Amino acid sequence: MISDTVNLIRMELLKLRRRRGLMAIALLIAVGLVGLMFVVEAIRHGTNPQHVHPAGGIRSFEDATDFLGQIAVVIAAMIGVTASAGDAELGVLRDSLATGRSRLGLFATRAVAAVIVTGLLMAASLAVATICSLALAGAEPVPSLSEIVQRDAAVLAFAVSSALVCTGVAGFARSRGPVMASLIAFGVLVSQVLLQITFLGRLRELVPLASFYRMVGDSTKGLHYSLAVAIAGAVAWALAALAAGGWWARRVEV
Amino acid sequence: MTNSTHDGEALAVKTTGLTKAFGARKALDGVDLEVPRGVAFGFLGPNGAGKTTIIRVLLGLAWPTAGTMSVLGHAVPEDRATALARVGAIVEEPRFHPFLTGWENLAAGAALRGEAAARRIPEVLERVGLSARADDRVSGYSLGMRQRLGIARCLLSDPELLFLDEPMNGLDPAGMLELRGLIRDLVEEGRTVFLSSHLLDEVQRTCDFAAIVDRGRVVTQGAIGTLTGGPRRIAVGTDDPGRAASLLASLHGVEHAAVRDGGVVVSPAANGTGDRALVTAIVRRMLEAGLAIDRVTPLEASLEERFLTITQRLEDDR
Repeated sequence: MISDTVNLIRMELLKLRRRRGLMAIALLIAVGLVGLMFVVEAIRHGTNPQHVHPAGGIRSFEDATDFLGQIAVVIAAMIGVTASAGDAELGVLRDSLATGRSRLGLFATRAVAAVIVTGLLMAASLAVATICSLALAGAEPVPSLSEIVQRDAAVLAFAVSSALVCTGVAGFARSRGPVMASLIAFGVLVSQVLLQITFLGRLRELVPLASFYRMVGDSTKGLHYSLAVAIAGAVAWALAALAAGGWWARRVEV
Repeated sequence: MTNSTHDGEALAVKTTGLTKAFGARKALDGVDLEVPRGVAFGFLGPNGAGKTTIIRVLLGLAWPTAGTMSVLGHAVPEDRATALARVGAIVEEPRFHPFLTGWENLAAGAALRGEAAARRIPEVLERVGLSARADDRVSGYSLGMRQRLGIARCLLSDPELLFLDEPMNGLDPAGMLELRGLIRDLVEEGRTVFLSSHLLDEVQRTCDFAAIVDRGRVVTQGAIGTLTGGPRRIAVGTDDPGRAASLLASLHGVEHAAVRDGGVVVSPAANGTGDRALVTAIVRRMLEAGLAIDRVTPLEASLEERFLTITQRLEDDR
């Protein structure tokens, strides 16, 4: 039973990995962009060290991890939606379901695969951000170990939560493009706008991105609710999306 | 849905009053179907008759609106997992992950079936003649190769029952011949093949039993010989087919005589005389009228004619 489940997850991972174009773009976004950010800052500092601070250090680390919160949404949408709706789009979902396998079980293996791939990509981007922040710090103060752990864990937790949300939502879709675009637009653009609308008050705490900012300890957004509530919010979003996606997976006709 | 019955266990597929409605439209309308085990069973009907729908419902891909069904003696959808464990299926057309190789696609299918299925991959690839291309990406496969890979995927579960939905679609004559041979081999091994098709000739050549479906209803089913049975028609070659048809139409024991292909085709009345007496009467009448005869040939009824007769009769009844 366990080896069967492991095999299914391995196959889901293979299906994602072999989409070479998708994986290359995801890697470029996850690792390439954050790496580029440090390279540009290093060049700027190199050409004008008096006025531009070093590329590394604590400020750069905070900027990079804030940026990776947004990147996490993009990667989660790309991977989560592909894992969830890829088979339906190709028409192979029908063949999987015709084996008599539990529909909910198959949905769960897709969610696990999405979490693994998203987590690995974001771990790679966090490694780049952390190493660059330390290596290129120059005279700048470097982030402490506890800050590194807190921020890296927050990014990873938010990426995992986002991957689960995207997998759940995409369970309703039969093609990836529109739902992927919608989730990225909501996660990156709409969420930012909602967080800026201060008269929404505590309602803003419902926005998934608010959980991320609270988890990394970003005080600039005016979000002052407890960390426990922020974590509970991220978990609730993931569970709600998974429950909806799982419900649909059980009843959808293909 | 009810539990399986002893009757159902003797059959590969049994449905009773199976209905599937999409809004007001009934894709299946009270279908009673009995598919014996160990035969090739043709499910015949024009496009849109409900052929794919019944396969989808039997495989648990769509839910019935009413009725009961069993697959290999197990009630579906209640006991779906057990029922489908030894079932292979191609619904509509075989679909694959184009970016995976043939082998990897089968491995993905085998992961759904358990370890025994994974061990069967080399054997099924060999069987469908794709061993040499197993490591190529499926995006480079021809339609015929995809059909064969689809059948290989069906065989991973060592199935007792295979559902093949329009498997001849897109195949060239050699591919059709090959597939027909493969289906017969599968039946020889004791498997049941449920073959849906709108190619009547193909079903007649391949299958032992068949059901004819039209607008969601099974209008007749049984052994192919029974379905194509009925009075044989007689073709008569003559120098004046028009006059011959008029003469023979009024002959005792003849229901209908029509000009066709430069001769006359005579349909005997259902309660008429036997072949020998009718042929004698036809020849005598034509010779008396001074008509020359160059051939008198009995015509075997084809499934196509039977199908057209039935569906036309239904049309007339409406």
